Amino acid sequence: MISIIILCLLYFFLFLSCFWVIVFLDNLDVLWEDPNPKKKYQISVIIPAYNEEKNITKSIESTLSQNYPRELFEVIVVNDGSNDATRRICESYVKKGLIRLFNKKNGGKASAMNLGIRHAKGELIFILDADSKADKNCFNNLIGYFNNSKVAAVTSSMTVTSKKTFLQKIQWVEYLFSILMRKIMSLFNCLHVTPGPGSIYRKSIIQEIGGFSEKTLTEDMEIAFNIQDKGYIIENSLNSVVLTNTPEKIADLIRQRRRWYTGFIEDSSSYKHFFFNKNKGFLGAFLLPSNVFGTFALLFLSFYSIFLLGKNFFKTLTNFNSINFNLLTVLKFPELSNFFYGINIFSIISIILLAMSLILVYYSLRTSNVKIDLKNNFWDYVSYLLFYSILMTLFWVDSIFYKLFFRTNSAGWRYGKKEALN
Amino acid sequence: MAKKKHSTNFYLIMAFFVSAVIFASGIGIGLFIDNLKGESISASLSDMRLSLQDAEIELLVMDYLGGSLSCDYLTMKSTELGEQSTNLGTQLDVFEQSNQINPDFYVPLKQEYTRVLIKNWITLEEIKKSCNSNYSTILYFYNNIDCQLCDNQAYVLEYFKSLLGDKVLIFALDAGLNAGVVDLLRYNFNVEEYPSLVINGELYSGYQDTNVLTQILNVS
Repeated sequence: MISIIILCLLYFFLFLSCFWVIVFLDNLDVLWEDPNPKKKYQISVIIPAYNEEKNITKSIESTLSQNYPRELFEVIVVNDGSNDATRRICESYVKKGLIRLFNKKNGGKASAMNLGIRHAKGELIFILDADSKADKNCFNNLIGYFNNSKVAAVTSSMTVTSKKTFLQKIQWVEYLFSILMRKIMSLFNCLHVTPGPGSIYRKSIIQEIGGFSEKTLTEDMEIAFNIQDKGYIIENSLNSVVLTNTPEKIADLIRQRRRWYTGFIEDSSSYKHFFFNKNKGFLGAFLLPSNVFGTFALLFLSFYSIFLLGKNFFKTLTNFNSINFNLLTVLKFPELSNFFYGINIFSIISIILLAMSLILVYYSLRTSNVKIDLKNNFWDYVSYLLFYSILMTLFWVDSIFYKLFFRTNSAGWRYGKKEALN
Repeated sequence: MAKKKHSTNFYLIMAFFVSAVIFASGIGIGLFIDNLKGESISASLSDMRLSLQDAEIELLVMDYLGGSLSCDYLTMKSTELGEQSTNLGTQLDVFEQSNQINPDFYVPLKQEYTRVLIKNWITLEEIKKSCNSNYSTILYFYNNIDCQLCDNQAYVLEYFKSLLGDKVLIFALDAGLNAGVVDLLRYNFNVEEYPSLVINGELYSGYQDTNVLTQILNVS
């Protein structure tokens, strides 16, 4: 029985992989096309900042150096009660007349962005996290999508600033993979997150739907659901590139993912009427249910694998104990010919799934215009394939526990900094 | 939204067909490999049967000639037969563990293997008797259902095999296999629980640890 369940789950993942690969290949030539803008829009860049003294300069500079008429965009920094040098750094730009600065009591990222929106003069709002940098052609690549009056937001291709640690290398591949997935999902109008780094919104629609929710952990996901709920469109541009910082340490990464995944649980619960709802398009009818099912399937497969590993470990330990750990006598290399007798349907389907994953990773690299440098990045790809699902399981388990036992209603900042949660 | 080239339903149907073909191919390849494994094990069984026939004829020839000159040769032969049956048993074990979809597939092979194995045991016992050889034979009765200590017992026996090499020949018999000849041996040796060992014709019921086996097999 368990074998049949596992086969069904493997088929489910195979179907999803095939679906995305087919869509990608069929639309390969149109993915990079951004519409030509019919007019130049007035843009307000909003940079919400909380204790970002190390990053804020680069973030501001990247927006000021946009290839876009300077008179057509303004830069607003909202300092959300930072207790470091963020305010002082921003004031130096204010003195030069380059940015507008609003200081407020700490209240979370969403409240900072809402304040910025209230003071914004532009028709479009470009949000940039204070730890991120925008490519100089971002505005030009993004604004063409607003020719369509139903478009409420456009997201950018997000990649990582640096990949020094093992975890950052895995995240680097993950982000590249997300670039591809976001673009393909935009073809079905089923983007359900408009990431903080480099998403641009039509101000009138944001105001119409009530701005960013200040209660949720993931305001960028909640607003995307809200936009979709009101029947508007979210687009994605592969050519608009933003660079963002990623957590270096596992504790920071866990906190970040706890915020993301708990946010997903809460937001999808708030918008549960999307599920299996044909009126909510592909997002409601297929993507959200398959995402939730896929998560549970991944958890089931991971726990089952852990159970089998534990069982085998216990068995091996018992066996070693029964021969008084006289291992030198029995340890020998298994005969190669016996591997042949161990091959079964599961191993073959798993190999096929691994091949599909490799294809998707390969196309992700092509999509992101990253040079496929196997010599230098081989272990990054391998680490991603080997450890990503393990990390995902860990993050999901942590988030579910957090949601069930510890979650309060405070919204926070990236990585879930404790200070901001007060 | 950016225009995709085909409708959503088109992509869903295409994905369904492509994934179904890949999945069916995976299952097909799996079944094909299962067949190859079965054929390979059948071929090894035939080889073992031939070797057994050779040994039986050689025993008859030795009886007829009434001498013990051929004993060295026959003892060497018995070692080969033991090795052959051990290797085949390992392959069948791996096959059995990997075959989770259709367990019935390997059952006839295992039954056939068990018959050849018992014939092998009888032949080796005869060689031992005729040539007064000093190897021990162990019939290991196990059951795959409700026998938590059987895996452990098998491991301990493997340990002694590694330790003693040609001095011990082990014949593992699955009592749950529904094979008449195994039932006959169980009845003959009064095997009532699992694991049980018949060492040089004497029954040892229940799990036997390294200390007991060290004494029985005279391991120095």
